[in-house]
Amino acid sequence: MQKKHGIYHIFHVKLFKITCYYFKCEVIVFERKKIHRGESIMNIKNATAISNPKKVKKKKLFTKNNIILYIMFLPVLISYIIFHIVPMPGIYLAFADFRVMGFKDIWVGLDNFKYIFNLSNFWDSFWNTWVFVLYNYIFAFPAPILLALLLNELKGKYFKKTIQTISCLPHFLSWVVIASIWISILSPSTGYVNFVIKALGGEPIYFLSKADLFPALLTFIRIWKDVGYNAIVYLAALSSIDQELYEAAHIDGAGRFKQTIYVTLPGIKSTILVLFVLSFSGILNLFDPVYVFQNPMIASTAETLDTYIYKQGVVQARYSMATAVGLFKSVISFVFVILTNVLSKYFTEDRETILW
Amino acid sequence: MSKSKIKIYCFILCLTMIVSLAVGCVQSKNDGTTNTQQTTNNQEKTTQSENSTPAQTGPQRPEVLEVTRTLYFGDATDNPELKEEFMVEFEKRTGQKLKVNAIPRNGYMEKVNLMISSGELKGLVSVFTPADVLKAIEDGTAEPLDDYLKDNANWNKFSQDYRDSLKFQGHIYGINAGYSGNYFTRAIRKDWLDNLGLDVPETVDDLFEVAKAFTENDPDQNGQNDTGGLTAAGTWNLGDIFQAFDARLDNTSSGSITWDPKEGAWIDSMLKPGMIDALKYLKRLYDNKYLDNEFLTNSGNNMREKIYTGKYGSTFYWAMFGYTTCRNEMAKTFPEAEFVEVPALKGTRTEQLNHRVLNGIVYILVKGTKQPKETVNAFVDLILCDKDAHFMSRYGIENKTYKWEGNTLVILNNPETGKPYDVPGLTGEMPEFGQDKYPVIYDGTPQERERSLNDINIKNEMTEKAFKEGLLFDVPSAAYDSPISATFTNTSVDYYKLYEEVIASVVTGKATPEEAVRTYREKMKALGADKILEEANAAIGKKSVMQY
Repeated sequence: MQKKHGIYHIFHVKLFKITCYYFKCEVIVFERKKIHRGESIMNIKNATAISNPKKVKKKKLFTKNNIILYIMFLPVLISYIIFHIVPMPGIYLAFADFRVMGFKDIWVGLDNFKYIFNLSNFWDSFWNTWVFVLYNYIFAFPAPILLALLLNELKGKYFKKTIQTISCLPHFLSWVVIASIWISILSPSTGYVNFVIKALGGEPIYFLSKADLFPALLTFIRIWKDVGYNAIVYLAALSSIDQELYEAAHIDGAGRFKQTIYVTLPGIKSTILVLFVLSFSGILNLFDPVYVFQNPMIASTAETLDTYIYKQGVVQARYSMATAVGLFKSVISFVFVILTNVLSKYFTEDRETILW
Repeated sequence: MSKSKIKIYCFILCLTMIVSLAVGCVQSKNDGTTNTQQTTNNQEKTTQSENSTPAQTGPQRPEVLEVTRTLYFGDATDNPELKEEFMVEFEKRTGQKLKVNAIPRNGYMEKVNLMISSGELKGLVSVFTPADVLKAIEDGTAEPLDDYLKDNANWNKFSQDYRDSLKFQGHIYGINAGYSGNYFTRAIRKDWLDNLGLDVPETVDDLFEVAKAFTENDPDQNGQNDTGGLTAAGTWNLGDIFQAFDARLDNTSSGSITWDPKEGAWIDSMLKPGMIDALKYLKRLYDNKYLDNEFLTNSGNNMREKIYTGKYGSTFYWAMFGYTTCRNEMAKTFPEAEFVEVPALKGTRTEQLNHRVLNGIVYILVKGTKQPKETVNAFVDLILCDKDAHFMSRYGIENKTYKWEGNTLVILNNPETGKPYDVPGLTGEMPEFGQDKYPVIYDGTPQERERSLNDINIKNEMTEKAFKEGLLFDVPSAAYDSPISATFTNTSVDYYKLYEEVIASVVTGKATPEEAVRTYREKMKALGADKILEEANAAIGKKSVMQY
């Protein structure tokens, strides 16, 4: 199992996101200028290719303008090579018997996979994971889009920035801290939520003891944590939409809602699609948020593939088994990314896939 | 902000990251070098001191005695100066260089396994239970110690029971650091009992009435409905209730597969009729809110905090928790708080109820340790058998964290916190250095010290009385904690989950006790759990008396 660790994970993810965001801004600024000049990407590509093909070939990889971008990308690249490419041969462990003191058997074929598939709680935790995934795509994925749309409609600059900042804050808290906060908030004896319920004459509800409620509850907490941060990308995409389109729509008699449907959403469609396809790359990764909230009362729904294999594989030092599950998850994610990427062409105007 | 400015800032940011990465790598390389140099220097010093000290001419000592432990002067990041100072002081006093690896309590075993796997960890490593030793044997991590210890005079003086306490498959695979015994008692607020005119409970029925009164009758007399009866963290702190119904749980009260003194064999209490009654009793407590409704989600800290803050009046925890720890913690906020401790509650079962565990901290020797024989012998001769080294290993630095007053050891207060110093706890109490010969008390006013001394007598009397009345029994080393069974090791995650499901489903009303136990039986059978009992009993020369 590939478990992402603290500082490294925070470092590379944050840096990657910052870099992506910066590139995104660059592209947006660039596209805006083109739009202002009345150009389009296709036109530029075609015009350059047809009128002067040799010029394209001569284009240097490193130029005065882009060298800084390469330097900026360097830390991300280095961290990816060190932490993602170099350990790749470790996949081999899935087909061997590797214990604490080293290899017990250097080749066991698919035995590790057979073993995990026969574990009594493996399939329960597998299907539990899919419940969280489903909730995630129904509720958590659209949430930042909605927030971005709402923020985009706000007129007051300072109010908008304040809301944006506040909604971003929980993202920077670790899941351990978040669990402490929510366990306190939802406590039946001392929690604020139950305080309100009691004040309104109701009976306190022990939220974290209700197994059926847990997937929805965790999805809500995940939305609370990440909605503001994830909305940043959409806000950046929204800012690239040409204001003249809104003016044109307004002249055509479109109200706020219709402008959103016919101008705003198509304007950020490609961003939504890219993020949607990419989100499948870690579709079954669900360790921290679930692990920190687990308790015996919700064990039937709060055991995911990651937490179960952590207990069976990592804690019990059966590293080969844990690697086998990691590989199993990766294959599923890979298939999903490929599939969604292929399907994405039905949602783009040029009928091309979104990633490659 | 202009585009060029953004570029410049981003460039500076990236450059800083690359430089810090490079500096970090160079730094850690340098640190490694420094450590090696320091080690070499220290080794030279140690060798010199060994050469110059006549006392060191006996058995050969390792260059470094490496010990890995959790809760060494508190958790891994607590008291870093004390941790370092102790190792220096230990070397000064014994001539033996000591290296203690402090690993956080949270996720201790997995961190240890990963460190052993990467070759970072050698020497003696503490594990939690004998079952962990068995796992280490299966993983090939632990080395047998028989050959290393056979000529050690100190080791051979120990009782046979002690020496065999970590014997598996005919070989000694671990050392028990400590062998004096401890047990849980039910701590109850005595001042609350007095306020309500109640007697100290002796049976589970009495306890129910006490829990009810603590919840409903305002025992702290503050005019508010703000107190509860029993609190717990899982079933860990409810063991005495199950014992009373003849459905005793394991030694940590976290599972139902346990050694039964009546049968002299490993059983699963879930298959006993008493378990149904125990679960019904638990449900009644839970439904009436006489038992903390958050008991399945409480951490140990939460549970203790609820006692310290006067929210709940009773829990089942280490002996003397009420008499000493609670008293000290609550002295300022609730000076009126007084506790009484009950070693066992009677119910349908009236004798051999509660167990005392003799085992202390369990150490294994990691395969591939340099100078394994020297390491093991140094540990036995110094930490277990040398008075100075033993008490240092238990209580820290003499005249800083503790001091001697005659034969009485006084744990000193940390001037910064005003509370007793955290201790290294590398070993538990060995019989040779027991409280009867060397009483251990906390520093304080003469009255407090007198009380602290008196606590030792209270515990001795309570233990003696409980044994005399047949309420307490000693668990044989071979039957301590988890069953010694390969099947158990492979299925323990699923088993503990099933056990917790029974408790959770009953208290939340999802299943009746009968239904929950039936489901448990079916699932355990599917898990092949009959083999667990067979293997565990075979290991102690018994036949399994139960089947799922």
